[in-house]
Amino acid sequence: MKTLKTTLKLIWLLLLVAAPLAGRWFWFHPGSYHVPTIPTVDLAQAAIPTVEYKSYTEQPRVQPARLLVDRAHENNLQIDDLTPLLDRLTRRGAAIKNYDSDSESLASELRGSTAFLVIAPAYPFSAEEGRAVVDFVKNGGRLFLAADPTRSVPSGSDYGYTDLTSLFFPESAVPAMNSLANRFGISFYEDYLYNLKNYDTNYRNVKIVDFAANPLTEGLQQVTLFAAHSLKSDGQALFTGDADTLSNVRTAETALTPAALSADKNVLALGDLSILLTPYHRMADNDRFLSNVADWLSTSQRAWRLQDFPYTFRRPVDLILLPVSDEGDAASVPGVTAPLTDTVELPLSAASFDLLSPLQALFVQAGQSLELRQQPSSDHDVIYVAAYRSLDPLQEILASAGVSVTLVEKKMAAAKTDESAPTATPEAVDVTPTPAPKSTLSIAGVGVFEIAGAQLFLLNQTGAQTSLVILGEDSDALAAALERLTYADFSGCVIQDSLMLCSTTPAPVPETGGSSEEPSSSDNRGDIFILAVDSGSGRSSAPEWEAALSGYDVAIWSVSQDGIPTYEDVTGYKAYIMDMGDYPYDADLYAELPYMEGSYLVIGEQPSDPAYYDGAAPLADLQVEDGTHPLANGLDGTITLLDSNSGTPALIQPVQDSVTEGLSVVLARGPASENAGTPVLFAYEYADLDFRYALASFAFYRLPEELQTTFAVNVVEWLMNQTP
Amino acid sequence: MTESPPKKQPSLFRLILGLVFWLALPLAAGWLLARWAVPTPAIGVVRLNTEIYAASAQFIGMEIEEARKDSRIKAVVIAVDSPGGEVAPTQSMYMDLLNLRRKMPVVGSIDGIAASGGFYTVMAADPIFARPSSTVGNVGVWGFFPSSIGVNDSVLASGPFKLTASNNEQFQQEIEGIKREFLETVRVHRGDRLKISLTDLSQGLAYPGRQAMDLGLVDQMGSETDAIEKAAALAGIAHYDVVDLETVVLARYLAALGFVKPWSGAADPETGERKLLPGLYLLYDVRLGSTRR
Repeated sequence: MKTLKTTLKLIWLLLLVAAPLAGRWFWFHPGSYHVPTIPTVDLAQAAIPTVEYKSYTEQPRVQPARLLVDRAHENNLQIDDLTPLLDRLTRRGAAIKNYDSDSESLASELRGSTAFLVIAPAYPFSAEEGRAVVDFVKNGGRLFLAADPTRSVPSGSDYGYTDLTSLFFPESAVPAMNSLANRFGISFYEDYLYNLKNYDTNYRNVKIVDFAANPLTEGLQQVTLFAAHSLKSDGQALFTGDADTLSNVRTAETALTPAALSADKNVLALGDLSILLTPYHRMADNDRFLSNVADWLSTSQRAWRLQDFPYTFRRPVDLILLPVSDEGDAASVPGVTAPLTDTVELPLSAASFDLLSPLQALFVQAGQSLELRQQPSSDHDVIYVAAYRSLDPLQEILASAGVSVTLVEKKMAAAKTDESAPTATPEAVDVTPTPAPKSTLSIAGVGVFEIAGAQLFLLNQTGAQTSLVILGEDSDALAAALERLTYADFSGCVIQDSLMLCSTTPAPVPETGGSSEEPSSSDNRGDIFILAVDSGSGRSSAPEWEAALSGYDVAIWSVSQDGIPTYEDVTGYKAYIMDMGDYPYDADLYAELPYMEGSYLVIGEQPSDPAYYDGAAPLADLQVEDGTHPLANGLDGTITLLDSNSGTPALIQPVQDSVTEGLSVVLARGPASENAGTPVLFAYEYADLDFRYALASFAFYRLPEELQTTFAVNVVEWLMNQTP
Repeated sequence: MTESPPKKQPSLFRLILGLVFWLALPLAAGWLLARWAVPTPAIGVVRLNTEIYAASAQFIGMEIEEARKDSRIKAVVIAVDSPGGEVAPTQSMYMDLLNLRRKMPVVGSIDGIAASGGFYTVMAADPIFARPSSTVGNVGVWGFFPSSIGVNDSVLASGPFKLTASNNEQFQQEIEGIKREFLETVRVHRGDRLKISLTDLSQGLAYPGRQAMDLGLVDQMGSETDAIEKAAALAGIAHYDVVDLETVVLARYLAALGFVKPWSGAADPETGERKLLPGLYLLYDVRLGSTRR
C-alpha cells in the first residue's frame, strides 16, 4: 500500500514536471514539416546539338574582273576577315585592289573597277564619293555592301585595350553604311535578327531557308547568319526570315530580309559579315553562298566609257599617230570642203612625245600595255591620234558616230574677212560685216561646233576591237588632249555616250610630276554653297535661292536628302548661305553641322536659339534700316512678307545698345510686326580678316518674289566681297 | 468507550509546504526543463543582397550551414535582392538551399531585384514572395568570347586552346548549355504554375513583381514578413523568433578574425574592449543575431 502511494506520488511528480514540457512543445510546435518532393533538373533536356561544318567544292570560271575593296572608311575589319571571299575571287582571276587613304579619289579608282566591295564601314561616304559610286553602278559596276551588328565604329576594344563603355554601348556603324546604301534604295536597320525557337547554338544565329530565285541563291538549302542586320530594299529580297525570325528593334515584324539586291540588281546588300568569315562560312550552305557572291562579283556587265580610260580597253593597245598630208584628203572626209594651208607632218610635235611616257606608265599601272605603232594589229585595241585634216583612215568610224568635219582654207577665210571688212568711212558704221567661214565639226544629234579650240574623243567598238579616236586642231591641241587622258581631267568637256568634246585649254599637270593624282575635291568648287537645313517639320527656301541665283555657280546641299555634310563637303567655296527656312531651331542638328570656312549668311525664321535671344514672335513685314548697306541695294521702305508656311514664330533679335565696329542693322521688324523695330538682319564685316557674316531672322521664301533676286544677289556679292 | 482523539488538522504551513513540494516545485522544475529541452523555435533569414561571386556565395553557404546547425531554426527565408553574378557560385547557393529544403521549409522573398543568378537561386525556394515593384527574371547567361591568342616563339602550350581553355564554338555551346539548364530549372520548379513559355522566358526579360506573379515566376505578392509567416506555417511552428543569419554569421566571422568583438557601439574601435560601465552602453548596444517578431 505504501509502495502504491509512493508510485502514485512519483507519477504525479513526473506529470507535473512533464506538463510544462508538453505545454511548451505544443505551444511552439502545433504542426510539423512535411518534406515535399524536391524536383530534380533533367540535364538531358539541356543537351546542345553539335555544330556541323561542311564546305562547297566549287569550280570557278576565270573572269577578267577588277575589284576595289574599300578600306578608307575606318572599316571595322581584321586583316584576315575577308580571306575566304578574296580567296574565291582570286581563284576566279580577279585583280583586287584596296581603296584607302593613300588612293586617288574614289571616282578615279572606280574607273577601272568592275566591282566595289564596301564592308563594315564606320565612317560615312562623302557626297562626292556617293556620286562616284552611283555613277559606277549606273554603268554596270557591281557594288557589294556588307555590314554587321557586331562591327560597330571601332573603339578602344578594337585597338587592344578594354573599353567597357564602347563594348556595351557601341557606336553604330549603320549610318556610315546607309550614307551609301540609301543612294540605291537600300537601308540597313540598326538591329539584329534572332530566333528563339529554331537557331544554331545561339539565338542570334538564325537559319534562313526561304530564298528568292536568283543566281546568288542557287543551290542553297539553308544559310546560317550569325547576328545580322535586317534590310529594306526597293529591289529583290534574296533571303527572308521565317515567322520566328525577329528583329530586336522592329517589334512584331516578320518576313525580315537580311540580304537583298537593289532594283537594278547591281547592288548586293548583306546584313551579316560573319557569314563571310572563318569558320562561319563553313556552316550550313554558307560556303556555297560565298561562292555565289564571288561569281556575282566577278561577272559584272560593266559598260566602259571614255571617262574610264585606260580601262576602256580590254586588249593590248596600239597608239597610231596618223600623219598629216600637205594636201589633205578633203574628198574622202565627210563635209571637208577645202584643205588647210598649214602643213603638219605628224599630229604631235617632237616636244610632245614626252607626254607618251606617263601615258604608257598609266597603262602599265592599269595592268595593260600601250605601244606606238604605225599600223594597228587586228588583235589589239587602238588609239588614233589625228589632226582634223587627216581623217581618211577614220572615215568609217567617224561616219558611224555621225561626226563630220568641214574644213575651210585659212587663206580663203582671211580673204573673205578682208572683203567684208568695213571701210573707214562714216557711212560704214552701220554696215554689218559678213562673218568669215570657219572650219566646223558636226556631230549628229548634238550640233555644229567650231573646230578651233575643240578636242574630240570618240570611242568605237567594232567587233572585239575597241578604238579611241582623238582629234585636235594641231599638235598643241592633241598634246593637251593626251594630257587630259593621262590625268583623267575631263573638266570643261561635254560627255555624251561614247563621245567627248573638250576645249583645248591644257589640262593642268600635277606639280609632283610622275603622280597622276587628280585635283583635290575642294578645288574648282563653285561660288556659293547653300546648306539647306531642312530636317524636321517646315519649309526650306532652297528652291527660291536656286532660282534667284541662277546666274551663279551654286551648290545646294539638303540635309534631309544628302545628310550632314562633312568638312570636306563644305570646303572650297567662295561664300556660304545656311538656309533654315521656317524650321524651328534644332540645337542637336545644328551642333552636327561642320564649320564653314568663309563669309556666310545664316537665314531662317529661327536661325538661332530663341532662348538665348529675346524669344520669338510672328513676323509680318520688314523695314529697311540702313539703305546704304550693300545688302539693302534695291530695297526700300517697308516690305510686306508672304505668309509663313509653318507658322513658326521668327526669332526676336535684341536691339544693340552699343554700336560695334563693322556691325550694321540692315533690316528690322516692320510696323505691322510684333516687337517692331527690333533687328532682323545684322551684317558684320571684319575688314582685317576679309570675313563677312550676316544673320537674318526671316525665311527667304517669304520675301516678295520680285525682291528675292535683288536680295539674293546683294547677299552673294557682299559675301564674295564684290561690292565696293 | 474510548473516544478517539480528534484528527489533527494540518497546519496552514504544512498545507502550503505540501502544495509547494507536490505542485509548484515539480511544475517549476518542468518549466525549467522545458525551457532547456524545448527552445523557442526560430525562422532563419538568409540574405542574398549582393552580386553573386565566389565570396558572396561562400558567405551565403555559411548562413545556410548555420541554419542547418542551429536546432532552433525550423525554417529559412531566402531574402533576395541581387542582380545575379557568376554562374558556378550561383549554382552552389541553389544546391545548398535545395539540400536544406529536404530538412526544413525554404521560402523565397524577393525584395528589390532577383535577376539572373538571383532568380536562379530563389528557384530553390517554394513558395516565393515578391513585391509588386520587384524586378524578377532576366533568365539567361552572358560572357566574353575567349581571346584569340596567337602563336609565338616565347610561349609554348600543349594544346591549341590550353591558354584560353575555350574557343568561340565551345563558348557558344557553353552559353547555350547554361541557358537551357537555367530554363529547365525554372520549368521543373515552377511546374504547372508557369504561365510563360520557355521560349519567351529565354528572351531574358526581367518582369515587375506583379507580372512575374501572373507569369508564374513567383507565387504571391508579399513582404519578407509574409514570407516568414509562411515559412513558420510550413514548418508547423508558432511563437517563434526570427534570426537574421547574415548578422549572426557576420558577427562570428568578424569575431573569428579577432580584431573586433561582436558588439558595436561605444567600444574601443581598435580592440573592441568596453571601457565604460555596462549601463552606459545600453544606449549604444545593438544586440546582434536575435530580434523578436
